[in-house]
Amino acid sequence: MIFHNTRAQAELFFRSLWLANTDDLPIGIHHGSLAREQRERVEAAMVAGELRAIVCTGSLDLGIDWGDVDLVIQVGAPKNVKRLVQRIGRANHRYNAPSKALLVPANRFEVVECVAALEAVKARDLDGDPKGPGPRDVLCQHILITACSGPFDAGQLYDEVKSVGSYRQLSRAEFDDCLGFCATGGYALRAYDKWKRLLQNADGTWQLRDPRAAQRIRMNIGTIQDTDTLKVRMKGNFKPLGEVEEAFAATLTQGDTFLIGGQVVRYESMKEMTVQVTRRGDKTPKIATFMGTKFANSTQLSQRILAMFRQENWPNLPDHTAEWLTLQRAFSKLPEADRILVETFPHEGRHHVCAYGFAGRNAMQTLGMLLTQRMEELNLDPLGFVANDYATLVWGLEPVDDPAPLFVGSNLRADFETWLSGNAVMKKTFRGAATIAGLIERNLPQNRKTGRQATFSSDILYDTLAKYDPDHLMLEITREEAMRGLVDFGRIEEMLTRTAGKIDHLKLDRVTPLSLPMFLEQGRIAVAGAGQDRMLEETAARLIAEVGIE
Amino acid sequence: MNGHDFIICGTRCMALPTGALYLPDQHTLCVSDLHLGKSDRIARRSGVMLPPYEVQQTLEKLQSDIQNINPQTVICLGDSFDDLDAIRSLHDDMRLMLTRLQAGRTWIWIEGNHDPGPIDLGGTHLAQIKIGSLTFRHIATPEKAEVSGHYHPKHRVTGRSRPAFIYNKERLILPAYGSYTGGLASHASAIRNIVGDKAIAVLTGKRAIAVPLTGTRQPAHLRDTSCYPELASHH
Repeated sequence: MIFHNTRAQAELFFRSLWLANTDDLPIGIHHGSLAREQRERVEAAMVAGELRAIVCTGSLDLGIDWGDVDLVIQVGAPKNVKRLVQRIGRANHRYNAPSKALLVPANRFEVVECVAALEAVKARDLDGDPKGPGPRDVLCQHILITACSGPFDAGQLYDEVKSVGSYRQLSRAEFDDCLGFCATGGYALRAYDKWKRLLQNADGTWQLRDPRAAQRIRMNIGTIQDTDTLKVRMKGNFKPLGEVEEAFAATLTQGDTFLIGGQVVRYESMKEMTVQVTRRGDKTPKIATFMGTKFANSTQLSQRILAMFRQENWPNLPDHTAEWLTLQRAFSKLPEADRILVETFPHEGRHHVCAYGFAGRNAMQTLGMLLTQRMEELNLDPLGFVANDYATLVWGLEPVDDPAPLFVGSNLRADFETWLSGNAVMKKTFRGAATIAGLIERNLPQNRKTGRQATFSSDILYDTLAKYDPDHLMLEITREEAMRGLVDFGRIEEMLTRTAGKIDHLKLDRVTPLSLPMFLEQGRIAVAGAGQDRMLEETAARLIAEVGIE
Repeated sequence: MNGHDFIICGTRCMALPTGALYLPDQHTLCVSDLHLGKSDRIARRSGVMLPPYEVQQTLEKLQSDIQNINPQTVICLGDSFDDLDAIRSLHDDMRLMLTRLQAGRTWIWIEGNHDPGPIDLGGTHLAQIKIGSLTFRHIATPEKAEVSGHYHPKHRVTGRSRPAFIYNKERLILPAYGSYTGGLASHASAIRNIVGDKAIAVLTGKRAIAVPLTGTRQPAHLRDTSCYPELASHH
């Protein structure tokens, strides 16, 4: 079993493996974006022992035993020790035989992480995140679905919900807020008294105003958030190959090629919200942009890595990685656990700031948002940033001569409060919470129209709500979810406490060894600010000039 | 004002960053596809209760444009209401706000496919109207010298697509002005068939920014320039 952290990576790997498979050995690919029939076929073949190798993602982390697995290969860093142990345990799944695995880090940072993870495994030091209280958007969905199966008593339902471990602490007031949201929308402006979703009967029970709504509500069951995807079908064949993201499909023009299920296909047309393709083996593919889930690495792993940086030399690391760290130490310096290392340097006409906070991907992303917001205020025209588990890299049109004020804890906390109300992560979290709670419907194939008058963005709903009804339940839930999920401010706090305002600023004349992997990171985020407007206007002016319009 | 000035068939036009059109010589402001009452219609039909503030949000934007410009005439170019029931369930405060906006000026409701009329909110209800050299109607026809709405055009240069005006020498399509409105990508054939390839898109936002319509759908040549200036990706 060859595990990958993202679907796109799995696709590319499978493609290369297939090309190298000159002996035509039976191999398969398995990930969450493939058609269910295809996944089931691969699973069956695997259980039957027919496959020699399977390229997969987290979709095979859990679940049934996959029979005789000789070796597990983990491509990329495992991100947390528990998952690594779980994946390794897939091999030789018998109680009396050891499991074998091969770790294949994809860059030097990952080499360090893999070694740190292995040391943690040896020390039997498993990480784990404490579970928070049960999310209330899920409770809203539960209330609506309960209503779909008939009238219910609010008190009884409350008692039942409280019997679930994660909702033990739920207060009746919180429950009633959720019920109110399901019934009337819960808006300060009581606009929907006429069109309530739930009505209270004379006997006190609640039921759907319009029983026909049950079908729509049931169609939206579920709490897993996926980006909008389109089915991909071979032309003239009904069986779907899998799915691609709608945003990716929108960039395709006829003749473009991409990888799906390990084969290169050619985009032909869009028919009834299905991407029609033909087989095309001889071209280099454009890559399907599956987002997948990005896990932050655990606090414990970060700490182990920082501890490794303190070593004088690194006999436990491969030469190239030890050299890389030595080079970083000579050229700049290695990050330390009790201070934040900030490097500034120019690169390809942009000024870069790289901050090593080691707070995990989500928190480092939040840090990127906060830094760029402050830079925007200081007219430094930041253009964008990218974060990984260790660092945040910001680039912009102006140099940052003194980064220290950007990292002052009290500033960061104050900025965080103002920032939280209007940022992209909140909007993304809102979209998830609002979908789960039944405020917006999933983009079901049957209500999607072909590009025309597409549903308007949930960002607009978020902005409207934040402006006119800032205390609304849905915003409260969004905030709560963002804090523990994508925003992960807790780990920024941990970083601030750990470093206590100590900053090492190094001003350098070029990209540093340690920052290099940042330039290969996926998931750059653009800053919608003055810098972008400046670029947009320049681009517009150039395009106008190119076409030769007055 | 940050608007974009241009001329269609001899009539001076200014595309405002809000998505409104201003004809300075005729002292006329035109907005299209307000879709007021959309949240009400959605709740009525599907039970989904969106934040019911889009009427206020849209009217506040319109109020701000009207205060800045003080036009003699305001044209709402169709689909001003999401349906006729939405007019009936308009909140009293919102009716009052509309009445205040209408006071002291000529107000014209052009009928759209969502609101064929009648509209009992003051103002004149018309199928189309000619102002200067231009005919204003909701859905474009083959006729030249025309201003229309209906398609909610959006255009993308870098980053996300934005509601946009699309015009050529003879005709203009307005973006949707209302809050809860989706959009149709400017490369869609429905729009291309009306304006052809030699057209200009004016993006709305903080400032009105004009770009040629063609060649900007997939700015690959922009992505290839040094490092990653466009940051175009959505993730």
